[in-house]
Amino acid sequence: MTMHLSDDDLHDFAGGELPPARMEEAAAHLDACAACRATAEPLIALTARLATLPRAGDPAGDLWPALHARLAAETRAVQLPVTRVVSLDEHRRRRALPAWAAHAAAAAVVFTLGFGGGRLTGTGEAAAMLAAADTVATAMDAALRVQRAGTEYVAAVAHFVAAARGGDSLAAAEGREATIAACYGASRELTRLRTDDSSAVRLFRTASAARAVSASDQP
Amino acid sequence: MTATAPPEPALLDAPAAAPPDPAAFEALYRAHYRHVYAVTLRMTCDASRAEDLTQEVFVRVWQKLPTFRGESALSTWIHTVAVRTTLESMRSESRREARVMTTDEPGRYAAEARRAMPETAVDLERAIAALPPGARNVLLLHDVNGYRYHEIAEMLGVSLGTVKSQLNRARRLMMEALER
Repeated sequence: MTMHLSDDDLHDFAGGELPPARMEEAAAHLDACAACRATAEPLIALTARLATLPRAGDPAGDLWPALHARLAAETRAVQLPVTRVVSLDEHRRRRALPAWAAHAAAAAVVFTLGFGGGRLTGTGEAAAMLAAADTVATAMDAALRVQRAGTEYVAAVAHFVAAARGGDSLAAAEGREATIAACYGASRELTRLRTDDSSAVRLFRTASAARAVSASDQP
Repeated sequence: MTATAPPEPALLDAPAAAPPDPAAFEALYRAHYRHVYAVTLRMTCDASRAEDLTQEVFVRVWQKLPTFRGESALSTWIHTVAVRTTLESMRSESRREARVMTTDEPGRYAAEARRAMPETAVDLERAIAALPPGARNVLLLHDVNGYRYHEIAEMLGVSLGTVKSQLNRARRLMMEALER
């Protein structure tokens, strides 16, 4: 290379943006050309220093508590009312929600379907108590953990409803057991995370009672 | 982007599209917040705003994490969310008011940079803070954070030629400032 490197070439060389073959040509030229080297050296020194700047820094305080509160608010903002009975068709339609919103909503659906499932199974008292616990699943932590149990619960309810509608009493009875067990598991998760939440505790007691009644019904 | 990836917590074991587990998300935050804060601090040169933006970045990460497809390293993805969030904020602010940095602000920023990153080169930080915001962003994205021209052009919504000219200008201004 006999011509001097252009200003753009020098910047591209210093920033590692030239194609490999051109990088080699430019390096060879700089070895031989003092004029270009005099222009390139400060650029190369600057880019080398910039590349070594630290890429991690500490804020003055811990940002996590405030962030955690914001995330909890985010979760609450997408939550569904918990005392409505949600049909399976409506539940399917909700799949069109953004994935994270749908999953947060699923936590509330657990308890909503608990009410509907209770009515269908004839455990009216339990259903009424479930419906009264109208402030459950309000915290992000609870919602997310309960969501896992909720996925199982929704499946159990769907199975149970299908069996009940099909007139298969044995399958319906099994579905009822599975539904109550899943509701118990979900409420237990909620209580573990929200030990100071009276609604959560009330719900857990309700689910425990429903589970005990169900067990006593066993032959 | 060629930024070094910090260790990633085992957050993505959950089923696809599931919301992040809170404990795992805190671990993710703890692993990455210092990198996000450095990005937002340098781009804004304002500690208070950088803290707000760091929170905003992780709210977005929380919202978008279920859709993260693993096509890049998680650290790279979070870094990109940080850059885009900060750029959006800066654009929004520039629409509201023309912010002009006063002469003492680079010094104030340099002091905050030294507190946040004790091992940093204060002369460089001060010179970076004195750059016009457009040139500063391009310089930070390319020479500090390792993005390529085409990535920067895409993020800023400008042509490759604009990126190159902004970068060349920023380097010239930096060298002038460092010679003083």
